[in-house]
Amino acid sequence: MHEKEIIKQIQSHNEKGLQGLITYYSPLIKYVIAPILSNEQDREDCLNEVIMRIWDKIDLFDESRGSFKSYITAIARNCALNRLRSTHYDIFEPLTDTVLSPHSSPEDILLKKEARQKLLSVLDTLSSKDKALFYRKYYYLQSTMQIASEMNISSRAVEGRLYRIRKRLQKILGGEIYE
Amino acid sequence: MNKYQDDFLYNDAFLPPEDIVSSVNPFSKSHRRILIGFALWIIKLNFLYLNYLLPLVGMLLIFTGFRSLKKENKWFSTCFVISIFLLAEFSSTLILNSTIHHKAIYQMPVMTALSVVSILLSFLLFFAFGKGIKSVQKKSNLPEGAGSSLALIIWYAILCALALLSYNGILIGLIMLIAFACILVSLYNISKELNDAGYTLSPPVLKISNWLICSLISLAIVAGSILGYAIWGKYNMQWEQLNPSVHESVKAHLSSLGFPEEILDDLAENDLLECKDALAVNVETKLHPVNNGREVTETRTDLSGRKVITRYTVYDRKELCITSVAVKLSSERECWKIFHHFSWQITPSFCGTECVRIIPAYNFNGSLGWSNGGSLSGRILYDNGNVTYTAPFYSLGSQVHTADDMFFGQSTTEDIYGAFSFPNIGKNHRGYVCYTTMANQPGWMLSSWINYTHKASPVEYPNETAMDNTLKSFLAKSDAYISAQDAIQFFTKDFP
Repeated sequence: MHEKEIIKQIQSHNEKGLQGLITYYSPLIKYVIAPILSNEQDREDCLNEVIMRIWDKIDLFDESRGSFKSYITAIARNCALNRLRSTHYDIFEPLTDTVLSPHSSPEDILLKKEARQKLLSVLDTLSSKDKALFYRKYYYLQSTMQIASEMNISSRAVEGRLYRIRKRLQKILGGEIYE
Repeated sequence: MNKYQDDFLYNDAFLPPEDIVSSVNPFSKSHRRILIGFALWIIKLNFLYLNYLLPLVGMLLIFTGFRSLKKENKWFSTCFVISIFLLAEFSSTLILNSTIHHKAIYQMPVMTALSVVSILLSFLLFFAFGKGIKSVQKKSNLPEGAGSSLALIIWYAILCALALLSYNGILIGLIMLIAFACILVSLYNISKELNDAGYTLSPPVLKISNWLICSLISLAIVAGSILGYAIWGKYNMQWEQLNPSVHESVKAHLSSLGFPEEILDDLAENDLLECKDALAVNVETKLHPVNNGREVTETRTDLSGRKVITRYTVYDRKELCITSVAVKLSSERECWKIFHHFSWQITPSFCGTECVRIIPAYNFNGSLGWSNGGSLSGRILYDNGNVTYTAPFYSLGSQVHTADDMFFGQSTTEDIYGAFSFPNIGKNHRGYVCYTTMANQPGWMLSSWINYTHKASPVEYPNETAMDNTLKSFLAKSDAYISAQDAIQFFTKDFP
């Protein structure tokens, strides 16, 4: 089934669309979830949650903002992180001034949005390999080993490159270098 | 939580960029790499050494591509093993081509068998690749359809058949090229389908990155080639110290007839003895340039006022002295011994391989005038300090050669070829070839030619010999060689 066909069928709440979503996009969803959730049961539950979320909130998908794959990737990642927070809340640091609270003020939200835009514009100046490396580490939350094997470089090279990227970001954006 | 994770964390509306989403799929990258590798490996462009560089790059891409896929299924694992063999075989060929013995080695039965094995493994590679794709399609719940890989096998079979038939036409070649492009596009579309289906794989952890391994392989090929040039870039000559000749009386007699004295000392005992009762000697000496000279352009105005530009080459140095000596022997039937002597006036800047081609007197005029009297011999000499060293030719003998000339068409000749190498040390590098010819009928001109070919540049790939170049047709000759030609021609009735 073609991607457009799947979207159309989901939008018209046709079960064939759901079937197509499960058949063709489960591997991608599992790929995004796997580095975040280590428990197999959590992964299965999260996969079902992502599928249902896409099915229920297909109206939120806007083709002008990104592709369907991009949309699925974002949903899967955020669902996995939410599940991780809800089941392992103790590993999360308490909210501080530097961390955006979901209940932040409009000013904080605006500042955060500007900071993100700045970060994204700086990320666009990186080489395609460095940019992919950064996103794999901090967006996809993949392990160094997974990144190394998929990008055909050694683990040491991954760590070295990430360090240099962080240094560059620090130089441009200011602040401290975080691991 | 990490600062950067924060930035992405609380915003469902943030979508990762398209280029990132596309790139975070290692299967399509490896698959594309393999397809590009196939294209570069199979299509040969015979200029600027691309017929070596592109296949090497192609093989490295195939190797690294299957290196990432080898854990995916047994078929890709098989492809990886085959790619190692093909890469090793091609790398060995590249290194072997840096030696002057590669042609002889390729003609050995074991090399022929290796070539056959290589071709069969190529078929197996395409077959296993197709099976691997089918397996991946099945895993992605996509319909299995690797007809493109079957088409690739059939295409390669036709290519091998055309190569066996030595086909060099344009029409079928063009059709094959278009068909190949279509097959690659079809295989690429499979990758796209899998990518769209979100197919992912878990590649193995690489302790050595692909870049490092490719660099090491390339370095090994370069190092091997340098070694090939250095050690097997010239003939292995059997040098030994020259023993002074004991036949001084023969030398004195020949000298009295006009034989150049400096050449007499170079002659072997047997060759001297054959001339002991010589009746007459005819000598022709000439200096020849063994360099490309310098271009001179002259501009003048002719009588009608038009500008006339004349370009010609001036040779400031003439490094090679060729002396041809004809010695009339004492025998019932008119018999001459022809010596073609060559002597470098300066030490050659590069001593690779050399070749002399003698067109003997008995090869002219359909052998009506002269016949082969045998006694083909010769040797090479040089001085180092006060010691003279000598060695036999690496090879000296008659060879049948069919030349394809665009002006004169095909012609078959049996001339004398002598192959040798000078050492990089010493001075007065010289040598000679001699043979005997007998008159069939009186009155025929005696004409004997020498063509001396010197390898002037070490930069030549594949590494060939001066003899290989001599045997090529005029248009196929390489710029790495310089030739000098001379002859002795006279009517023997002018001599007693």
